[in-house]
Amino acid sequence: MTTTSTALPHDEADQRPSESQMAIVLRRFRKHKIAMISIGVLAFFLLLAILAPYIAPYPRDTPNLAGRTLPPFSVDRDGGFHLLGTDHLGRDYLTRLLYASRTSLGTAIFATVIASSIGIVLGMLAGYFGGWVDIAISRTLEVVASFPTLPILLILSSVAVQNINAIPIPGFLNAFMSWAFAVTERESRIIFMIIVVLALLGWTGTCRLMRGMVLSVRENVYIESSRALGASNIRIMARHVFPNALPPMIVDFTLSVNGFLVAESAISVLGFGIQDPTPTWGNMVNFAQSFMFQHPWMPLIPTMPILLCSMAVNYIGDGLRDALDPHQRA
Amino acid sequence: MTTFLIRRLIQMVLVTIVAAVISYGLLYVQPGGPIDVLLAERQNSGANRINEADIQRVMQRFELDLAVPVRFSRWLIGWPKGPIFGSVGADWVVGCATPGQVRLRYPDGRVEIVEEGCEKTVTLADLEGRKVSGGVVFGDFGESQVMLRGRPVTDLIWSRLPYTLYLMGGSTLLAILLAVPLGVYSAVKQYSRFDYIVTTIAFIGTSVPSFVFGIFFILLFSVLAQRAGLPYLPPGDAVGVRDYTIPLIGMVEAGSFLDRFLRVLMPCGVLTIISLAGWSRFVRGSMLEVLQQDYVRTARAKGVREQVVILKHALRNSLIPFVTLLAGVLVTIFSGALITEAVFNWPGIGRLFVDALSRNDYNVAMAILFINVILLLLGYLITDVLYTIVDPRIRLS
Amino acid sequence: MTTAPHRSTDPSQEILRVTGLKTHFFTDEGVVQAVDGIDIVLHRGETLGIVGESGSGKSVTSLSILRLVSRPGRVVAGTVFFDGVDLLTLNDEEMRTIRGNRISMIFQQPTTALNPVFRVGDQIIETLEIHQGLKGEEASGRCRELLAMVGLPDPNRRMKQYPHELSGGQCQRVMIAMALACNPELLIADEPTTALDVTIQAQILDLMRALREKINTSIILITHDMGVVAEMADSVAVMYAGQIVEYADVRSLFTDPKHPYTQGLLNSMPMLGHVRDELAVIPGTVPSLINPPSGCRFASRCSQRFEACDRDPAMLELAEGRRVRCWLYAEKR
Repeated sequence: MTTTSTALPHDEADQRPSESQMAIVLRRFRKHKIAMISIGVLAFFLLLAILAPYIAPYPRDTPNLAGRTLPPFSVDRDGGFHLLGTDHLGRDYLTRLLYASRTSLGTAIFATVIASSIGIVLGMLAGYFGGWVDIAISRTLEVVASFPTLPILLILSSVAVQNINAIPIPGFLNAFMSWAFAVTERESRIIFMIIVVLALLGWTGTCRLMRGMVLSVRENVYIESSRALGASNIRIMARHVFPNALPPMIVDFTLSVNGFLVAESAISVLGFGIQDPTPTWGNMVNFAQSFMFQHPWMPLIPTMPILLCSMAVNYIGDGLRDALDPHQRA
Repeated sequence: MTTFLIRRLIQMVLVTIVAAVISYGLLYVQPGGPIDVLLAERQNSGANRINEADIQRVMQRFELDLAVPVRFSRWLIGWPKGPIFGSVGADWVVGCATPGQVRLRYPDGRVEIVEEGCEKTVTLADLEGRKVSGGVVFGDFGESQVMLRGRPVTDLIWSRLPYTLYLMGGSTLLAILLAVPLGVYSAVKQYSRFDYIVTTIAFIGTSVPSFVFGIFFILLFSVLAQRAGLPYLPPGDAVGVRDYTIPLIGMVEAGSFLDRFLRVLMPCGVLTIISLAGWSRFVRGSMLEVLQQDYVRTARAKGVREQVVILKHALRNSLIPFVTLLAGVLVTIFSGALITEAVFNWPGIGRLFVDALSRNDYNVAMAILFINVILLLLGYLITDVLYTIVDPRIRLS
Repeated sequence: MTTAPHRSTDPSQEILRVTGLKTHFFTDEGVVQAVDGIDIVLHRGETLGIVGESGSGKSVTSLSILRLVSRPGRVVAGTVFFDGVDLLTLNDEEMRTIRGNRISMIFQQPTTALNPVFRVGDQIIETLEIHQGLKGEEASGRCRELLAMVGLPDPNRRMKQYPHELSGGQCQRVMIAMALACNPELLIADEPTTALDVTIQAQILDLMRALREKINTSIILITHDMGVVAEMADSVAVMYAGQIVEYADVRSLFTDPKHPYTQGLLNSMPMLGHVRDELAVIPGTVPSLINPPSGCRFASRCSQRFEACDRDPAMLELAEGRRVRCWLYAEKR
């Protein structure tokens, strides 16, 4: 019984990853050296993002027209040292990069949480209840998934950015967003809109996965048996579907973070999405592109964290997949 | 087969209409849409303030004075052009040229002007003689509003299409030609050093965002190479505007074949690498799966030469899922790679879309989006048909 | 039961002699000793049944003979003399001319063993092309003959069909036609009837018996079904955990099983008229072949276990062609 699919649990004892199974997963994951390094890389950037307001050497938005596009390791006229130089308005590049990690990573994580929640809930509903619920959800999913993603993303984000007041955002939510991203409430509105746009287009994969999971678990006899014992639907969902769906969901979640990170960066690089003065890695690249011939380090510096984080998250996802894949379980 | 095609076509028409409604709504109907932006822009840039007549003219030009369903119908199928059958409904009200204004006086003295009712209505008869699009469905996407003021959108698209076609066509072809052998060889030699290198590079290739590749390429082959005095590649555009000299190669005449060739190298390289990475991984995966199938063992047990086992028995089967990928190719070949075209300043459809959006030329953006959706749907259809050709087990019904 | 074994001591009648064959799988978890030193002798026209539970190494044995074990598996020791030539020393090209030509094989899952994207006729013709150089009308004529021989009516139409258009039984007939296309000296049938319905099973076995008489090919029949062995085989090798534990002619095996495992298998065999079931009646499971227990591999499930079983039992020759790997018979010799 080495190659049983995830969807078909082997026996009762297997419903929930037991202590020893967790140990197996961890042991397998640790063997994936690059994934371990990747965790370090990601943790480093997350730490920077969290600490940004405390460790940033300069105010985020203060321009210094006398010290524009300074190269790394340079000192401006006022004697201020700029480890990574300054941007086209003379703002300290390191400071902006630190705040940008908060925006970029935060956006990716928030969007993933929202999109995954939508996907999980809809997928579960579709898979569990079937019938017209399934038809309605599946058709919506097909339409959303059949749109060309990037163009729609660009249109929606450009519309969203131009109409940040069109959709009312509850005050407490906006206050929370502005606290989470360390930005003003006006800026956090844009961030919120972009997150919503990303999430609205990005839930289909999770939904499809979850629906499939639920369908195959539902086929299983033990659902029948627990229903016979009088277990409620919610209980069945919680006890049987979730533990089985968890491993692929974890991988899906990881890869989603990467997808949203890259998507947000891409639309920012094209000049849409979150706008200056809120820094994101993507819009820093966008501005730097105009200066890349005179000052090659300018696009390079914000590109590196995107590259590193994207690769790190991918490798972590890869490692997790290997570790969680039941096909490899001995 | 025929019934399948008919059903599929009906489905496509429905999806197209849904897509049209959604995208139209997105760009034209929502509050503070492109018109407000346009008005605001003109207000900001023009020295003289705009008056009532200006507003009316703009509203008429964008048909803002018509009711949404009428506007949509005129946009989608170019109808109604005037009174139906020349006379019916000439006095039917289809819109409002000047909204009625009601002055509200609050107890605290504030005065607010609220639009209510209609002061001057538009009837079907008024539509006669107005410029109207032939209908998006029939390929008339109206006129460009900003980029090439007053010229048909189709002109713009036609002028950009060749650039996208040869960039995308070239890189797609190259990627397929390389991905299949790489993936197959990698799968056949699983766990070998070759396989290890290919999978590692492919993994990196799929996880690096395309704009990162683009920027690295420009920095490496253009900026740094030029600074180091090495032969370098021109960093952007499809055609140069003035002659330039490249070390070892010499003088390159702007607009010459060499100039065009040098300029296509980098964007084509980036696009090829990205597709190649994904596709070779895909081919390898499906090949590995096929190689474990019973019928491959049967072929070997029959005494079939190993090369034939791989290239005939296994490859034929492993390419079946690859066909699904090709559905997406159609749409990317048309729409180009937005990001790569933008990074390399390539004058193709992808950059046209980005430019149109950022300059609020919504007719252009809409047209590209619309064609995109239709090509995507066509792609799915082609995939289904291709499936029946490559896999005898599948029958369309 | 069946005909008496036509055994002969004349070595010229010997078609296959496998000695000390070991096939190991090198997995991440460790080395799986799937086949761990087996010896087989097969004479012309003889049918040898290899029986055992799933995982006992029967299929790997047959694949090893044809050198079709795929990674991470490898034949690590032994010789496989086929008609006086050690197959394990041949180069790939020489081996290829033997496969499908002088030794051919049919598999357990006929529906997946045929390539889904090619017509069955073309798949048979491919064998004819490779080994007999037949082309065009000549090849398709021979193909029709073969299809008629295996009892498929309307061969012209069958040839143009794809595997998914045939039933499991029909697919197995096609496989047999393909295997017999070049009149092989040895046919290896790996559970040829397991995946089929009971009625179809009987038909296929009848077909194989009839063709054996006609072509006079030697057969290695791999099965977990003692009933099939009783119907088809002349001699029997019982495999357990990668080793042969008993080797006998079919009559002696059924009348006087020596090894406790064989006894268990025969006891678990259903009586005539009862529903046939999988061989799972002996309590316990086959031990892991990664680190097989030292001593007798069957000891943990054996009802007659005693102290000696902690040591590896040797293969004991009780009589001519009658061998058993069990300590019970060590003193009796």
